[in-house]
Amino acid sequence: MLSKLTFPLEQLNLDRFFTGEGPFDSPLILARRRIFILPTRQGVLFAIVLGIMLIGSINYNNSLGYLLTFLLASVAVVSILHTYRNLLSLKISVGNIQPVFCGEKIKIPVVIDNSGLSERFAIQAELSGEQIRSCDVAQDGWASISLSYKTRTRGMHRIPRITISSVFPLGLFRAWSHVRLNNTYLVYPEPAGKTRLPFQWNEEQQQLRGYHKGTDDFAGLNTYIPGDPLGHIHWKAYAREQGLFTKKFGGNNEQELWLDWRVLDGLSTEQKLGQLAKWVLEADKTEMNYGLWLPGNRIAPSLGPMHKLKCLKALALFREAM
Amino acid sequence: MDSLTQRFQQANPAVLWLLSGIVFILAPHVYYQSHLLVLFIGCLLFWRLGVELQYIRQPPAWFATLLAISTFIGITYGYQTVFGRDAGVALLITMLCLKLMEMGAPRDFLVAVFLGYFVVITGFLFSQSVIIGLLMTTAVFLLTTSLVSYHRSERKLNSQYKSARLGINLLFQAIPLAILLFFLFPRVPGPLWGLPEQGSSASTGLSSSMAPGQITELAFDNSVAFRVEFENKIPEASQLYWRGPVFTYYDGFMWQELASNSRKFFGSEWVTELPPVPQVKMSEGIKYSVMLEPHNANWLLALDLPTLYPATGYLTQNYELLSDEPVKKLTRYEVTSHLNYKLSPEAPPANRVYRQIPQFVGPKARQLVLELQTKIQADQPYDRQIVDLILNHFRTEPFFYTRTPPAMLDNPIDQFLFEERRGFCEHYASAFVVLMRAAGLPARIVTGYLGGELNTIGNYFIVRQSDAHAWAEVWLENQGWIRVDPTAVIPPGRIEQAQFRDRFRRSAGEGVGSQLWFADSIKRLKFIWDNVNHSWNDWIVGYNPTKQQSFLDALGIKDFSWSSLIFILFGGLALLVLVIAWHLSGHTIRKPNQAHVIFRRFCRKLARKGFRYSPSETAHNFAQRVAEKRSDIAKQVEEIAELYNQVRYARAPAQQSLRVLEQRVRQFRP
Repeated sequence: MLSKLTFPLEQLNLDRFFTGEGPFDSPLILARRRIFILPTRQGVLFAIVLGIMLIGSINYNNSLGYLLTFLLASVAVVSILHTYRNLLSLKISVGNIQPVFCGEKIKIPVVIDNSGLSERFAIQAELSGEQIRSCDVAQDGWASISLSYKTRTRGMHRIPRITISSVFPLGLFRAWSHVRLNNTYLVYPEPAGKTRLPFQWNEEQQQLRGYHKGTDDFAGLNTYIPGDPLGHIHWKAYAREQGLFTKKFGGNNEQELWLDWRVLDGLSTEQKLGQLAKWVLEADKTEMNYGLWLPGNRIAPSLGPMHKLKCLKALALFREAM
Repeated sequence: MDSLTQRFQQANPAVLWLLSGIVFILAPHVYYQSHLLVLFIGCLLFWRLGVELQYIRQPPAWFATLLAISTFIGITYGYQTVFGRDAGVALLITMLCLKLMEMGAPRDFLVAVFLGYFVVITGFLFSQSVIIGLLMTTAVFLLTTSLVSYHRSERKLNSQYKSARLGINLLFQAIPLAILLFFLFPRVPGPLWGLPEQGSSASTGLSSSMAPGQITELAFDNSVAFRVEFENKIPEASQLYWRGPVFTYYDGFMWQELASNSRKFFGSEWVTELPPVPQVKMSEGIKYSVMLEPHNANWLLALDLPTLYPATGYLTQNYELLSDEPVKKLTRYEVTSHLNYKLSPEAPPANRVYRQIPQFVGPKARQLVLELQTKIQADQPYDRQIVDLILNHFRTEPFFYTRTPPAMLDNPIDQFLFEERRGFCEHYASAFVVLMRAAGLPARIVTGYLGGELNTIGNYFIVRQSDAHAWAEVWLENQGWIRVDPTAVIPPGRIEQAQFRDRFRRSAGEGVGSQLWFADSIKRLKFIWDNVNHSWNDWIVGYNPTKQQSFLDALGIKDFSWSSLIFILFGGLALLVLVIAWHLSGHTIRKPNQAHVIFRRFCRKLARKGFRYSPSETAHNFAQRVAEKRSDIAKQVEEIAELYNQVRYARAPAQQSLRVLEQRVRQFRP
C-alpha cells in the first residue's frame, strides 16, 4: 500500500521548474502544468504583517482583529488564484524577427493571445535576465510585446527562453511560465575592417567578366520586378504615372566587383567575415554589380536588396570546412 | 494652468485610492485622538494630495526625516510615553502619513499599504461596534483596490472601475474563507502577555459609592448597559431587579460598599462573612445570558437571586456577583437566578454594619421613628408593621419624585424627609434604610437596574444606563432579607417629569403606549438597529473560546481535539478554494474564435465549387485565387476576406464587423 503512495521521483523534473520544457513550436498555450507560482518578497512581508496582527488579536482577544487578519489572509489566498488565472490558457507565439548585425539589439515580438472571457492585466514578458515589459490583453484579443536582446555571435540562433509572468492583482505572488520556442533569428557578422573595396581585379575575375551586364551605360527600360535595385528605378516615369520601370544598363565599361575571401589574407575567419560584410554594405551603395566568393560558396554578381540579404545570410551562416 | 480634472487624470490612481482608504482608516481616530494630532494628520493628507495633483512639489528627504523626528518628540512629550495604546496608535498613524511623503520607489508604496492594513486593526482597540466594522471594511476595500490599481499597467482614471470591481471581487471571494477561519480557528483563552493599562474611560451608570444629597441633576444617559436573553420564560417586569453594588456603610453623607479589604478601617467587628446559603423555594430557576458592556468595574449584573454563575465570578456576602477581573471589554456570561428565595431567616445578621448610623445623622428622623413606633400593634410582628408604616408615610405625605432635586448638604436625611421632600430613587432608598436602622432593623441599600425594554424583533431585553435604580433590603424575622422599593410607592401624580411617570409601573415590553404610527415605526427601526448590534456583539465581538465550544457542540462536533478541528478547518478551506478556482478558470476556457467559425463556413461553401482553402494561405491569397478563376463572385469573396481579416486581427472585439461578416457569408452563393 505504502509503495503505491511513494512519490514517483523520476517524474519530478526540476528542469521544468528552473528552465522550462521544450523547445516547442510556436504557438505555445500556457496550460496548467506549465505555470508555477510562488510568493514574492512583498508577499513574505505581508505574511509577517499578518502574523503580527494575529498575535496582537490573540493577545488582546480582539474579535474584529481576528476577523480582519483572517479576511486579509483570505484575500491573499484568493489572489493566488487570480494571479494564476491571469496567465492560464494564454497563447504565446513569436512574430517575424528581422535579422541584425552582430552587436546590435535584436527585436523579438512576443504575441500574447487571449481567447478567454476575461481581460488579462499586466502580463510581463522577459528574455532571460534582460528587460521586462508588460501589457494588458483584452478579452478575446491579443497584444504584442517587443523584447530586445543584444546579439553576441553571428549565425542562426534559437530565440532565448522567454519568461511570461504576472504579479497581478496584489503583487503578493508571482506566477510564471518559462516558454522555450523553436523560432530562430539570424545575426549577420558585425561589419568591421579597414580594407578598401577591392576594385582591382585579379586574373580569374577578369575571366569571369563579360557575361554580365554592368551598370555604366543606359541600355533601355524593363518592367519593375520586385528586388530590382531602388536606385535603378526610373522615377521620372513613375512620377508621370507611366508605371514602374527599371533602367537597364550595359555596355563595355560595365564593372563587376568581387568580394573575395581569398584577398583577405592574414586575418582570422571572423575578421574576414566582418570585412566582407562591410564590403557588401559599401558595394550595395556603389550600385555596382557585386559577387561574393567564399570557400565552398559563390554568389554570382548582382545588385539589389534581395542580393544584399542573400550575401549577408551567406556570411552569417558561413562555416569553415574542417 | 491645468484644470482640476486634468490634474486628477495625470495623478497616479493607486495613490488616490490609497489616500481615500487612509481617510476611512483614520475616521474613528478623529474621535479618540487629540485634536492637535488630527489637525496635523489632516494637513499631511492634504499636502500629499497636493503633491499628487502637482500643486506642490514633493518635500526633500531631509525635510520628511525632520518632520518624523519632531512628531516623534511631540508625541512622546504629549503622551509622556511611547508605550501604551494611545501613544502607540498615535505614533503608528503619523508614521503612516509620513510614509506617504516619501513615495518614490515601488517598495515605499507597498509598505504604505501594508502599514495601512496594520493601522486598521488599531481602530478595534478603541471600539468594535458595527459602525467601526463597516468603516474598516470600506478601508480594506479601498486599500486592496489601490494595490490592484498599482499593479496594473493601465494608469488611466476612467478605467479605474476595473480595479474597483476586482477589489470587490477579491473581498467577496475572501469572505467565506474568512468566516470559516473566524469560527473554526482554535481560540486561545487569555492574553499571551500582560496587557498595557488602558486609559480609564469613566463609566456611567453605577458607581461604587452614593451621595444622594450632592447630586442636583441626574443625567439622562440612554446608552446600553447590558442585554439579556432569557432561555425559556421571561419573568414579570416587577421582578426585574438587576442586582449591582450593595452599600452598607453610611458616614452621614455618603454610602459605601464595605469591601473585604476595608476591615482595617472598621475594626474586627465587621468581619467579612461567607455568603449564607439561600433557601430557595423550589420554583424553577430562570436561566439567562447577559451581554455586559464594558464598565471598568468588577460587578456582574444578575437578577435577585443568582444561584448558578460563571466560574470567573463569585458572590459576596451581600450577594453581589463580582468578576475576578474588571470588565474592560464586552463580556458574556450565563446565570441562573431564583426569584423566590429566603435569605438566612433563622438568625439576624451578626454584622453590625447593617445597623450602623453615625450619631449626628437625622435627629428628626429618629424622632419620626419614635412617633411611628407608638402606632405598633402588639399582636402583629413589629418589623413588618414598621416597614409598612414608613412606606405609608412616603405615600401619604407630599413626597415628590424628581430628577432635578435641590442640594441637601448639611444633614441630607432630615433635609430630604422634612424640608425638601423631593428626590429620586437614591434619596428614597437612603432615607428608608436610615429610618429602618433607626427602628432597629438590619437594612442595606442595593443599587442596580430596574426593568428593561423588550426588543420584540430579537426577543431580548435591553437595559440602559437610564434604567439605573436604587432600592433597599431589610431583614425581617422568619423571612430573612426582603426587598423593599420605597420609590415605587410614590403615586404617579407626584412624579414631576412626565416621561418617568410610568417608569415604575409599566410592565416591561409594553412600553409607552403610543397612538402615533410614526413613533411606532421609529421604535421598530430602533429595535432592528439594536438587534443588529446585539447579534454583532453576540456572534462577532463576543466570540470567545467558551462561545466557540458551545458553537462546535451545536454543530455536533463534540469532544473535538485540536487536530480534528484543524482537519475540518483546512478541509473546508480547500473546498472553498476549489469552488473559487473552478469559478475563475471558467473564464479562461478557450472558445473557438467566432470569426474563424464563420470563415470556415465560407470555405466549405467554396470547397463545394472546387476551391480548397489551404492552411498555409492567407485569407487574401485565397480570395485572390478564387477571384482569378471566378470573376462573377470576385467582389464578394474579396469583401469577405477583408472583413475576416478586420475582425480576426482586431485588438478589441469588433462586434459590428462580425455581424456584417456573418451576414455576407450567409448570403454568399457561389
